[in-house]
Amino acid sequence: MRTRWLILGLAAALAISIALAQPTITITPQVTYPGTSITIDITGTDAEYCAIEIRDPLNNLVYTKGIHLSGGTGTVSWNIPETAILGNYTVYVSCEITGNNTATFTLVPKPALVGGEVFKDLTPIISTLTVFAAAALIALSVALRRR
Amino acid sequence: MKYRYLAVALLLSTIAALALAQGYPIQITSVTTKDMTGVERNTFSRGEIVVVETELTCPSAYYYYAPGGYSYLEIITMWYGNSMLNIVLTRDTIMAGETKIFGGGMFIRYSDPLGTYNIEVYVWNGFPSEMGAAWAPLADIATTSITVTP
Repeated sequence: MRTRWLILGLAAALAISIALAQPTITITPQVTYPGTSITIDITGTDAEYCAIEIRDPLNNLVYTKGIHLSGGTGTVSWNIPETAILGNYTVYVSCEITGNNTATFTLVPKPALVGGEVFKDLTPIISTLTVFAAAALIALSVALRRR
Repeated sequence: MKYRYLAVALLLSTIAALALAQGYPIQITSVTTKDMTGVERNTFSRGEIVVVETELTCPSAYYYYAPGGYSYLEIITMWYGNSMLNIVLTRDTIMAGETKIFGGGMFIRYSDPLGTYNIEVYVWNGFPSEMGAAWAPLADIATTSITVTP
């Protein structure tokens, strides 16, 4: 009797875990800007076929790829075009065994430079070298005259 | 009583194993790249159109699994590293024992990089955003590559 309940309980637990299974999605970074890239890490079942789809804030398809997981994990990267629109992007992942899941990341404007562009000012170095060169020439000419 | 449970468990395992051993119902039997005159090539220049032609087959044995055929979404993508440069797709239905040929042109822009481009072909029952948990691949991934020169 006890064994029967144990087997039924195990079967129920297995059915529930299968029903609730989802691939895990990790997006790095979660906030970035056009011209950079993101990495999507997926965890599911070893060797299963997964599909990845990215849609922009207007629901346009911008990326789609199919991969086979290796060791239960898979990684894809997307080089974000400079012309990509800003806002929240949705990543859809569906796997043939583990099921489906979604995640989001955000594109923000490129950070503006504060104080303008920075150039290394070589003027002091050039001035110093010029003074030393002049002094060396003067010393050399004095030495040659004495001879 | 014990043996009855064992027999049921063995039967369920056998059914699951048989289901998984079936593989995919559609096979991508060829992926070729051609120019606009129909000549098969794998080297192209900027400004040219690459015609990617695929052949899909559904073995006759799958008739009993889907007498009405398989409705599929075929996606052909062109990649340079992690940049998706081109995409063409079609939706169709294939019957058991049938072969389908689909081709699409992909323009190589003058601003596109030089080097090796990978072409990947997927056959699914729909997009993940459409199908959700009911998403399924109908064929394994097929790939080929081309070289883009100046």
